[in-house]
Amino acid sequence: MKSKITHNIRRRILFLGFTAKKKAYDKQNAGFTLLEVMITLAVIAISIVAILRALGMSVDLSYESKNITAATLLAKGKMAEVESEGFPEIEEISGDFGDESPNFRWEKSISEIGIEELRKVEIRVLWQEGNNEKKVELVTLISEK
Amino acid sequence: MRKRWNLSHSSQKNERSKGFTLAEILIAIAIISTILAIVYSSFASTMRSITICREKNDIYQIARLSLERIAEDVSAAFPPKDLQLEDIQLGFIGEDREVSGIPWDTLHFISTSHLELSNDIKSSGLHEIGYSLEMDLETDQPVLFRRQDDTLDDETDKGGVVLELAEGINGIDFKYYDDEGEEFNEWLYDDKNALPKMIKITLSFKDQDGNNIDFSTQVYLEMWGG
Repeated sequence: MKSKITHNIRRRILFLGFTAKKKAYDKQNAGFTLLEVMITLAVIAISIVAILRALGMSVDLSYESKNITAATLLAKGKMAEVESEGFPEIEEISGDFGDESPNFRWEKSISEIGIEELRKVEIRVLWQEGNNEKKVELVTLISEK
Repeated sequence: MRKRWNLSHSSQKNERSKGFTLAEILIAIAIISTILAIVYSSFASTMRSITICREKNDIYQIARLSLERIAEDVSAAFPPKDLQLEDIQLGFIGEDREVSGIPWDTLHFISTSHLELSNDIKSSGLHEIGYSLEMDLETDQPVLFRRQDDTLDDETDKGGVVLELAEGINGIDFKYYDDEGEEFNEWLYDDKNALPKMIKITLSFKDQDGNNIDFSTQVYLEMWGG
């Protein structure tokens, strides 16, 4: 019995193609070659990587949507500040939100649009996500009361 | 036909009827179960992160909607003095409170913004609106409530319909700014005789790990001042 088992294991190992005596097999008995196994492994590896990347992407997207929510709230707050200051001066400045939201910074640009009593206010909130810089932009017009 | 290559004497049966041996089956089962274990563990961790993401997204959605509601009501806050009503003392009552380390502010005011909760055409367009936290006795968690009273009366901070706005909340904080930009933790119309110019609203939510997520925005009051 024991010799039969070891014999069979040996046969299996031979069957995987790790043998120099391959030529002794007939066609029906021939195993996979190393090349075939490598190609199979490569195909499996590539498909697993693709699946993992898709999963990672959905996690990234949910992360991005959270940042967009936070940035929009910050931009709204900044816009409220501009509104509360009355008719704005033409300027282009930027800054950050301090310790409360250290990942975000803001840019504010106030410009003329050709009508004397109106000023265009653009608020951008920017943040770094991986290698890309993302932003949320709010635009409004404020009139001279 | 070429003679089949043979290692030992035992293989006298023909190739076709030969089954797997016990060892082969055991090895195959071991390999398959290892693979299944690996696949299952990665699958389980994926499912776990999906659940976490979903709960986080729920918090973000509730927070966004609540903040939008509060901001809309607050931005249309109405100065009590502008309303000439006999014998009725209206107010704007923003109190700074803290319950077991959690910011527990309350705010009651008159607003032109409202939800149409009844089909009474006679409603005046001005409403008492209030925001406060209450402890849910069943879950022992704070819940954010919005109160709306369609009848104006002496008690700006009482009466009307109280509806739940958000669960899973862990604190609400209002900060008030006058026209000089000075910050106040509370604002009572009776003392200041004016509405604040700007209000900063901060909502804290607790995620499943017990960490606080803060959401805050600022609102400009169109009808600020006296």
